[in-house]
Amino acid sequence: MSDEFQRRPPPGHPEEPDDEAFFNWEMADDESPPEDELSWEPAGDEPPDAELDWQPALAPPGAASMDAVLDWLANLPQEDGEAGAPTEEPWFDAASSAAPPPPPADDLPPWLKQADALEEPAAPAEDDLPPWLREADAATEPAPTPEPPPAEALPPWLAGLDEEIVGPPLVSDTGELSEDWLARAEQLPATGDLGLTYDEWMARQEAAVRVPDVDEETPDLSEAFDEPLPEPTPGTGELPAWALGLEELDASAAPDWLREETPSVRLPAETKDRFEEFNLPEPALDAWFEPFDAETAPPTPEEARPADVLAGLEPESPAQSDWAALIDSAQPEAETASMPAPQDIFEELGLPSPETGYDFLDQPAAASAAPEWFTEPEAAAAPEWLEELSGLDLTAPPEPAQPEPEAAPADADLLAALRGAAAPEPGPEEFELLEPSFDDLDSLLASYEAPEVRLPTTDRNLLDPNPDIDRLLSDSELEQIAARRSTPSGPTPPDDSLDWLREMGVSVGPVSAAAILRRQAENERPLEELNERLQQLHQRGQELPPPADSGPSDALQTLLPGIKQFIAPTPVRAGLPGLSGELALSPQQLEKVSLLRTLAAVEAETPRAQPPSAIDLTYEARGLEEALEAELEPVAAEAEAAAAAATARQRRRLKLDHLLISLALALAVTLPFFVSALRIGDLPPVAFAAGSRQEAAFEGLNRLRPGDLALVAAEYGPTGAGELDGLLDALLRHALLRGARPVLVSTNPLGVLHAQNVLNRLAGDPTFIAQLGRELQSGRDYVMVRYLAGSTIGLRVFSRNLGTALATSSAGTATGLAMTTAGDFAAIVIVAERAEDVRAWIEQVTTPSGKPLIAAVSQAAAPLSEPYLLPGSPAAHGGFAGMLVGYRDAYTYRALLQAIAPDTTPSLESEAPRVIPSEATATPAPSDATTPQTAPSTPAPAEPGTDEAAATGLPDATETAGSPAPITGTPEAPALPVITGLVAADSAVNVREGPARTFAPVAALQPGSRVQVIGRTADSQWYQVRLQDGREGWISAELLTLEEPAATPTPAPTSSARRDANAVVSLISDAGLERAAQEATPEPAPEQQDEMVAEPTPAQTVPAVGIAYRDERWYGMTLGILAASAIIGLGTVGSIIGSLFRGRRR
Amino acid sequence: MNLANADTIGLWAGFVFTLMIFSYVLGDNILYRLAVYVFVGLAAGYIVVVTVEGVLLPWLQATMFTAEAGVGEQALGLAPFALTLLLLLKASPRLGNAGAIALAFIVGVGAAVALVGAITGTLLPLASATGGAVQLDVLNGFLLFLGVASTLVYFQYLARRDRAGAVRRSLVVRTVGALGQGVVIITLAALYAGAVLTSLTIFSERVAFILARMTGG
Repeated sequence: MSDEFQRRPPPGHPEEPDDEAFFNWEMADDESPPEDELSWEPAGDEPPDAELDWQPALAPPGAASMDAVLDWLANLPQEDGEAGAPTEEPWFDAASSAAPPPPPADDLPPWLKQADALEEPAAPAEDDLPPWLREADAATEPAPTPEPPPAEALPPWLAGLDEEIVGPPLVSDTGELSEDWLARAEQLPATGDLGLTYDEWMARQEAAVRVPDVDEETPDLSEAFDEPLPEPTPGTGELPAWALGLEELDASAAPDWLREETPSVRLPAETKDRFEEFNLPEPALDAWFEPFDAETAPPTPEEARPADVLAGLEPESPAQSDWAALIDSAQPEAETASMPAPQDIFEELGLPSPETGYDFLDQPAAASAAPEWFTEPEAAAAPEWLEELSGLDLTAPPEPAQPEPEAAPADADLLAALRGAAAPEPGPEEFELLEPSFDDLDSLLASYEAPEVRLPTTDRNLLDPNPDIDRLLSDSELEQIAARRSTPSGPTPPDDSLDWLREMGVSVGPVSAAAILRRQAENERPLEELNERLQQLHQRGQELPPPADSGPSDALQTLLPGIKQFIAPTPVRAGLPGLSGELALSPQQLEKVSLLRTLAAVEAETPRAQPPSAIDLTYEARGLEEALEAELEPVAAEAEAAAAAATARQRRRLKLDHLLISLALALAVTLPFFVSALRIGDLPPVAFAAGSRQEAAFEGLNRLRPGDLALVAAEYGPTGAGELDGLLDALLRHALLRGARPVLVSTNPLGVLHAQNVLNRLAGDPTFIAQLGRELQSGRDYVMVRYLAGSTIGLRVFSRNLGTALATSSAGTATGLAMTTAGDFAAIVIVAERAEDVRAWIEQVTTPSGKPLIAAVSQAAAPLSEPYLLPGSPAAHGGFAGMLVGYRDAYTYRALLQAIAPDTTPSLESEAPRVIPSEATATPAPSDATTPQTAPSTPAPAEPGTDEAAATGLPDATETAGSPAPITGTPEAPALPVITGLVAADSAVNVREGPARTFAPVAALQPGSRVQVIGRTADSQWYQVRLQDGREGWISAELLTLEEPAATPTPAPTSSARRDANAVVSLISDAGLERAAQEATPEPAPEQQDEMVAEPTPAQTVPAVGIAYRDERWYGMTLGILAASAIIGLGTVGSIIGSLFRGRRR
Repeated sequence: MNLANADTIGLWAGFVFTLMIFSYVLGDNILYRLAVYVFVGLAAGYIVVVTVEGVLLPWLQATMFTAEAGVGEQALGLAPFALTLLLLLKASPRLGNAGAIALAFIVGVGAAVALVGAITGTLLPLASATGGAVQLDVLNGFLLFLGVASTLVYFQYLARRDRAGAVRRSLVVRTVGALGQGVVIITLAALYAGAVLTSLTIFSERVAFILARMTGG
């Protein structure tokens, strides 16, 4: 049959082809569709020529044009010999040689039915017939040689081919269908097929044409369970009866074979026995076949069902021992071969074989041994087909086999076999199971809503952002349902499971926890919203090779038979789903892993904990983490123990190294305190080098005048006290001796505490008090301001609002300071432990130009503080004018102060003596400056003061300044001569910020102007002058002529140490200050003189020891530096050698 | 207990705690930890007392407890305490966001102050000083300029990517950068040496202190 016939659209459709094309099926051999289209049975594996053509495929309603039929029949004799197409068809061979087969009436083409009613139709060839037809044919006479049917045997309407068609003409004069002819169609009865839409009809045609695949051919029991038993449809989709004229047929037209066979329709004896066993009445087949006996009318399609007919045709077949066998025998052999064997079905269902697995049914006593799936009552889950079977009235004519033999006949056979086997010993559970009474659809649906079939609350679990996958997969309800579905008696409709599976999101991808989470995460968050890293991770995850297709396990297939197509082959691992262990490696990756194992000499069998993958780490799931911890716990414990052992070994080794190094350093620092032979190196100089940062710092404070305010910031804590307390002590002494008033602040509360401690020591130092001439009193001599809160911000506030910040002292009293800007301070000193504090002060506190800014820092802070030092430019650019670093500069600074006031400089140690040491004689006669270096064996305890005085190297004012009179830098100092200079130039000269032409000019002096000379450079090329308005600057010596001083100073003793201090710039004023200090030094009280001359008491020896340790500290530090350098060097060399040896071993 | 006795006790306590700290040379032990805990606890307690007495109470006295303080002054006086309370709410997970207001003030103002200070107090003066150093002394100025410039080059990360995707810097940049790296190494070595010197200074001071105590000082 051609495609045109198959695809003919319904009448009235614009694509309706003409009738000629519609009936070209007999000519189109090559274009014929697969023969199974014409088969009434599902497509089998039999060759196309083995199929029967007596059952045309579904034809469009109304497609059978009577004219076309007549034309074909009229041309049949003529074309028989020419084309041979009709005769070559098996159908025609069989029709001419054998008796017509007994096809079901509703499966026959109506036009052939009509033909059969008039004559004996030709039977198909023997080979083409199905077995059941062959058996039926065996009772008939062999078919004669095919001959053309005689003309008289043709029906009247066939015999009158040459006659004119009675009735209205088909075609009108205009070439169109005549109205009269069409009017006849309106008088014809309507059929149900006319209600088909074009799409429905086309869908049916497509389904008929398409070659079903194996899955479709395989009977799906679950699908059958879900669908009700198909009802026989009136007609099979072929041409409507009105078009074929079946309504005009009467019973007398039935063929003889049909009339002869119908009286013999009886149930086989075995079948009757079965009915008796079931206590069912025997079906009244005779009554059902009465229409055939009476020869009144042909059976309607509902009545003439193939199975009924076949059952009646072959009552005596020995092979049909029961009803199920009868139905089975009705299947064509080829079709049966194409269908899966019952054993396969049992295997697919996970059920035992019917031959051996259901023996317990025949043993009533062993009912308890029946499998759980069989004995479990599942009345509520009974499928519809079971209900229908249970409620089937077997007294009525048995349901014939369906003309559309899908899986239903096989299922019916199977179930009939089961029922037949179980019938002798039906248990109460079975009766309850097999006879659920569902009156209507609602009751049936309500049965599915029974509590025992309610699905687990998996949706709720998955909506949780951190679902517990283990609990989800091990849900008891899920297991119950799975077990319930494993039983063949109660399969739940698959759609039921598909819905919740789709909601779970496991319809794609592996059913792993990671996949579920990934799927859920993808649903919750679009990919575009992920950041780049996650997108790359997603992309890499997509590029991963798919997991190995191991196929669903039998257990899984048994548990969840309805969802096998939705579950990926990844096996389900309870307790540890979705971890990296599920990731599959590609062959290339496996090869690389093998290579790495070979290179690393790692045994492949060594179990190693696999770290979690990026996906597992990305999606933090509590269940995954717990599962991961549970799995890795033993391995992690082992690794932790190994690491602890390694750490312990390393700690023991490091501990020994640490101990040895520490002991070496401690001995190096401590031994010089006791062993003079280890006092190597030189002591720090007693004066700063000219132009050095230290000298600039000293000079900055040395310019302070009585009454000036000096801001001192103590930015250090306990860790820096050992190094910076000495510096702060020296600076405060110098400022106080200059008559200035230090104002101490700090952004560190502990810095305020240390500054207060230093001031307290000064206040308790009688020597210093004697030099100062009065008791040191807070508020009058110095101000301790409360600490500046806020760190950097506090400094900013302090810089912008000095008045408020300085209003309150650390004691909570008013300071009385009326400062507005930092320029009100004559000098600013920052004593800092960290470079960050130095930078914060430089950056936040605006220092006025021309005001000395001095830094005193630790050795650790010095490298990063150096950039803020601007030598030669005292605060010109906001940087430091001078800097003091560490203990060395503190040592020298103290020596300088002792040179100025040798009898007033106390010890720098905190344990400063409360009494004037006996060695601090009132006659500071300078001694050899090289004493400490040349006689280290005579430590300082006996003569510290003489050492300091000798090392100071007081400059000769006459020689230094080139002037017989010293220059005082402090106008307030009495009896000190003032050196003036006269500008000797032809034009105005510049007074610059520094002793070089590169410095900016601060003023211009007219020729003949006089200025006060307060200093000079070491090479006497520049003089430092003070203008009338108080400003200071430098002027070239070539442009200034010094004048005689107003008073003649007392020549200072010449000292050999002067050359050591010749670099000091302004020691002229120091000399004056020294004399002034000497003059201002009160005469010692008689008791004090007595104390000084008295023999040292034990209490008096204490300061001697403390002072002596000043040098020992330096020697100890020197040796310690050497030891540290040696240790570091040896360690470095050892590391290099070790590396070389290790590299050679490799 | 008079002051002299208190000083004596304090000095001996310092001696004992110094030895406890030195016990770390034998490894971490209870004596070392006890001394550290005592120092940290004392420092914390002292800071709290100083802060309350030196900052908070004076602030309240200057704003709220003055006779002429109006509503505005009183509100201003309470503002820091309100921000403090908000900052304390950071300890609560539920109310922690309220503390962000105080943190915003601190971080925002601190960053602004640090930025302004860095520009005006570090960058510009150092750049000017670098140029001035070149004028003062050609050799030293050149070395200073070379060190600064090479260090800046070493810390620049702009480079071109070749066809293979590797980041490549030009030969000149790499050479100058290597010089800058050397400058950085020297600087870090100086820092390390300074730290060692500081440690030795403090250690020697402690040794002197202990010897003074042992000799009756």
